[in-house]
Amino acid sequence: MSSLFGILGVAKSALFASQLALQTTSNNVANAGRRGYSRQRVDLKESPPETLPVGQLGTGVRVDGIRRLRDQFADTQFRQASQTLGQGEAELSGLRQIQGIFGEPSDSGLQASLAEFFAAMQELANDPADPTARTDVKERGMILAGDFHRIQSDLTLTKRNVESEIVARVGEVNTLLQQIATLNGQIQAIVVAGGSPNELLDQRDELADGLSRLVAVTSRQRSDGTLSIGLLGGGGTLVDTTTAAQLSARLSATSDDYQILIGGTATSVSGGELKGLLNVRNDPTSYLKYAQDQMDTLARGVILEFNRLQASGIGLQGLTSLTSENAVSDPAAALTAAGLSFTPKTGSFKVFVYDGTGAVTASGTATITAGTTSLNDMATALNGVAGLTATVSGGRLTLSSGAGSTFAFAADTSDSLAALGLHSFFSGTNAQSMAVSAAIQADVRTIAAATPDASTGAFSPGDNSTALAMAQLREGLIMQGGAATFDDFFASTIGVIGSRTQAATRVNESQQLVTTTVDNRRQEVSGVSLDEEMADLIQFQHTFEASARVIQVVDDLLDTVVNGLLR
Amino acid sequence: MRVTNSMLTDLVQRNINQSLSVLQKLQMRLASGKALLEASDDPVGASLAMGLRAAIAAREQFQRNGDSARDRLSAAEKALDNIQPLLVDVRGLAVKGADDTGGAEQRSILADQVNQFLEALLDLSMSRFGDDYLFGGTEVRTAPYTATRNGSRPTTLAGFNAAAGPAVALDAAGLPGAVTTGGFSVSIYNAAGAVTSSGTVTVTAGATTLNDLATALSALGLGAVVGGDNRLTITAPAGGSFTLTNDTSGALAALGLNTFTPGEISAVAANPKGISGQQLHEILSGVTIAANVTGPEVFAGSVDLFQTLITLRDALRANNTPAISATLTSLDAGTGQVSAANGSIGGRIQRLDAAQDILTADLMRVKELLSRIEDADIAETTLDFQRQQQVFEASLQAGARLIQPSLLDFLR
Repeated sequence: MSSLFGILGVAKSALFASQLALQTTSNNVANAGRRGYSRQRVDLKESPPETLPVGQLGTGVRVDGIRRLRDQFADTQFRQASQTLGQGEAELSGLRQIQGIFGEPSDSGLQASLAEFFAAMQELANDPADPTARTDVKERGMILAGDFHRIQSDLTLTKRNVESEIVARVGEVNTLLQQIATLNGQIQAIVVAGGSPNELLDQRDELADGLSRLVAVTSRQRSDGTLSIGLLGGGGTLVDTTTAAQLSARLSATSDDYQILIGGTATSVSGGELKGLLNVRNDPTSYLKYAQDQMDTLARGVILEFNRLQASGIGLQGLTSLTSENAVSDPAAALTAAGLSFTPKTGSFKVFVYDGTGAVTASGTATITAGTTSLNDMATALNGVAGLTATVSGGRLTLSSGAGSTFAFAADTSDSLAALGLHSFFSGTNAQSMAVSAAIQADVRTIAAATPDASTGAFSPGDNSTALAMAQLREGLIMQGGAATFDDFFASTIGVIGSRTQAATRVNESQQLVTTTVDNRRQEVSGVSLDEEMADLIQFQHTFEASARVIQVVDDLLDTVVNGLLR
Repeated sequence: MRVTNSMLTDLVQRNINQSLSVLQKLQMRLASGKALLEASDDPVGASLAMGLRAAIAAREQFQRNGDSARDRLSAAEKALDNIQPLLVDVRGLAVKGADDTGGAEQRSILADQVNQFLEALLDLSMSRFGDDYLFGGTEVRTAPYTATRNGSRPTTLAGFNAAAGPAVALDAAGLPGAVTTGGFSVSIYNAAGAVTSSGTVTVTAGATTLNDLATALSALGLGAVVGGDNRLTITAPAGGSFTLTNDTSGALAALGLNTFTPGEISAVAANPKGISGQQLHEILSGVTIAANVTGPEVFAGSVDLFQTLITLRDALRANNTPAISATLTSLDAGTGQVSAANGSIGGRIQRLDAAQDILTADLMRVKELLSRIEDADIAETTLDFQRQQQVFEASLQAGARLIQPSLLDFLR
């Protein structure tokens, strides 16, 4: 049965509803610029009608709830895209750093140093007796070794930086997991009580977004409002209602790999920034390990080839004493199995002893048989040469000639001198340890530009044959099993890193686009449009005004009824 | 599609960023003049460019090697240019000396002149390029030839001219000088330079033979031997020396025992360590050229120039015209030897020129290739830059118009 008070009730419900809607709209406007905010709508429903014989009579409006507008499917898509993007960006950043360390192509990188070293060697060949040319070879050699060292150190430093970044990202992941677990608890309490914790859900979604950028996860929302999160790929639960697992990162005990662990158990990660960083750190086919391996291979090639020639050559004068730079693990073991970084092969070398005038006083041949000859055997053979003393101490061979006399090696076909680091040009066994040998640094006259005659041992200061052979190593097909020169090898390394960087840049650009598109889809649903909110504002304003007008009309009617009828 | 405000601002921001990053890249290209700034800009081009840079560095070094070889060869050529006329002059002297009309006195003057040329030749053999001896092979720090010089008195003296026979009177022995009755003084010195014995040897025309002379000298304490070739060789006692002076008979000059002059070069020997080593310079990839002319090629190949000049000098002093004439053949052969060495230098310099031509052409080609890979096309980049600038301004304007209006502007 209709009544004036009934009308008042309807108007009142409308006043409340529009007031609530206005507040929600103003909240939307207030949060329009905030990332992660989902616009909210007041769900209005018609109040249950009163059934009259003439039909149903409306009783006003009621607020069903305040709802957050969110598309779960778009969320999932966004997070997947963001995992891929996170991984790609970390990988690209790693590659860009590696590329930057090499800094090629340029006029001042390793390639230029190598070219200048070879040029200095040619100049030495042009004037082998000239001390200036010798000093220049030494300086250029030191710059070359320095470049190898710098690049390798920078790569190692980058490796360390990536490791600390992994640790920092793991820390972020742990914080996010902890926060999500805490929110789970709060949300659960409100949902169980029948409420809608919109703000908390927004917060949790934002955390989940952040998490997915760092690491690939799967998530599932339960009916009690909690979000359970698992690690994609490696398995393992990260968040279960209010408990969060803790990740940790450390160097593997068994290999040179960095690992992610859940509660002490190693697990694998399949996406996100962490995966990208792990790839940059661990992947041996690209990134840091590839670059370092390539540098080591190149450095070893350069060291071995120059030392081979230096060992069988001679400087402006013979040697007086010499200690091998590379120690063997066991002087009684065969040289091929004594832990030398470069392995000797079956062959022999000659040794000549000269008197003060440069005339040969004695000569001998040392024969090395792979798998048999030990350092001690070699010392014995060398001791057999009159005027030469060979001793073994600490795995190193020391040779010296008597007062006033000198000695020299020739025609080493066994590589044993280069392997032991006897009369070497470069010391060291990889890019990090490479340096111009101390003997050459102390006295450039020891740079072997000449070659002693293999049968008579005679040598002369104007002989440039060894210097020329060293200079011609530039064109030697030495690397990759005789398929590439030093230059080719380095250029192809730069090419590989360059093309990976280029590919990663392209993939990243397109992934960025994908992420933007998916994010736009999300924004379509959850984003605040100010124009829309304005329209709503006006709509609810008018509803409010109209309802107020209704109350005024009812007031007039009541006035008519109460005062008019009584008069 | 529902468009929200944050979508709009995001879009505008993204567009501006994109435009700016393209602008920045173009700006870097314009500033550096290079299109290839990082390997990832063009990985294939980058490795190619590195190969080309290495190739350029190597070729430029080959050019320097060629220059160095040319410098050395030119220096050797200059030395040879001095040796050629020297030999011509010496030949002139030899011809003059071989002429029968000249006398012993004139030949002695010619001998002095030849001796000067011998000294000059020895000096030339020690020509240097920087600190390096040019003709020392690879023994660049040791003089290729060293001379043995006479002391103040002879220790041994070999007669240059042969007599008809050991028992023939000297004035009838067909010697190239008249022998008359007379004599000469002999003094013998010990190692300390003190006279230990002295005396006089007399020569009688028509009587004194080579054997008589040897006997007389032996009696004074000298070793005197008549060789199978009828030449007299006189030797001082061990460690000692001797002089033969005041010859009034002419026998000493006739026998060619007058060739000794204190301080003159008696022999020239090559560095025993060997002077034939070659110094190879790489002038093209894998192509080497010897940058030096070895001593034997010039001075002592088929003809020993020093020995030829020494013989000529002594023959002139000994007044021995057949021996003087004989050196003409050696001198001609020597000139040929020097010419051959000169020709070899010329040939090598031609090879060097050819190699330099190849290198120059090569370098131009490689540098152009590198420029095509690495360098930015300035005109095109400038146009790109301007176009991108317009895009940037347009996106700014569009952004400004897109964000600005809102329903609020039209209410009230």
